[in-house]
Amino acid sequence: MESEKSHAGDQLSQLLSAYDPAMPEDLAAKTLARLLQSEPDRERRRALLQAFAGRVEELQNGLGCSIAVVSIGDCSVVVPTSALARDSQPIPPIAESKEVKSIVREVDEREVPVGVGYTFTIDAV
Amino acid sequence: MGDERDPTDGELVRRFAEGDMAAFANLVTRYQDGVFLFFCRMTGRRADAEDLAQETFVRVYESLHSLNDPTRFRSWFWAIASNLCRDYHKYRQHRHHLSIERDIDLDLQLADMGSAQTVELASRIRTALAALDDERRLVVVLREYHELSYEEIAETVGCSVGAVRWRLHAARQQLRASLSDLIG
Repeated sequence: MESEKSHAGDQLSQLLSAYDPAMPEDLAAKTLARLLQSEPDRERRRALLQAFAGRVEELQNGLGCSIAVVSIGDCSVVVPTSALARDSQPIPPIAESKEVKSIVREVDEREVPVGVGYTFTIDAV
Repeated sequence: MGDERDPTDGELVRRFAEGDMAAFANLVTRYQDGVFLFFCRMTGRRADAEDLAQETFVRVYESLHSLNDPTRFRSWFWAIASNLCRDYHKYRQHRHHLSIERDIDLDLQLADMGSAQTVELASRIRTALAALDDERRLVVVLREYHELSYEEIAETVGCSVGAVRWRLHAARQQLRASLSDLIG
């Protein structure tokens, strides 16, 4: 069997490194959205939002991925702004409005229970 | 002068236990690329890899308080990811009756798409990984791409170091055979 030390120079290891999938642009934002959904305590949700704020900004600056932190009643979610803009219905651009009247595309169809007719208030962009 | 070194995982876990949410965000930042790539290589499906990466962090967030020894966070984290992966494969195979080789994405998105040869090479590797059985793929991915030690892998997958060595040996042999024309 092979020793651990032989690993570094192994040709197979070098070959395998050629399989390097591209990272998704908005993974941090979606992860935060999932965490917010799973946290029942409002104060801890607020702390999560604050803790991730800088990292979401970094993501936005680094990858050009625009992020909105959205409050829905007692619950907040982070969405890529592209998720708000993919619908044909007229939705005010986030950059121009502090409020989104409706959203028809769920951020993650399996995980975010939102739909048409809700009022969303943007906490921060 | 302040201490400017990066905090260890164990220090971040302890800080999170004391209520410091920024410490948890730091752990997410530290591990999110790795865990996404892990699931990509284990499943061959990007969308599912994203979901599984997010689910891993939710599980970590919900159960981090149960980690008695914060210095073992790394293997504990990968154990959660590995268990999610096992559940995923059971679910996919039960529901779709497909081997992983036939269940991977049709397209391949790479960090550097480069030339057609680059894409072809990555595609060959992905297919070769998918052809391994789940446990062999798991140890070879943890070792080759995430540089876990044999001891860490043993702790992560719940087997002996000897079993890790054997699975890794078998996985490498199978990969060398699948990719023999690409290895000089």
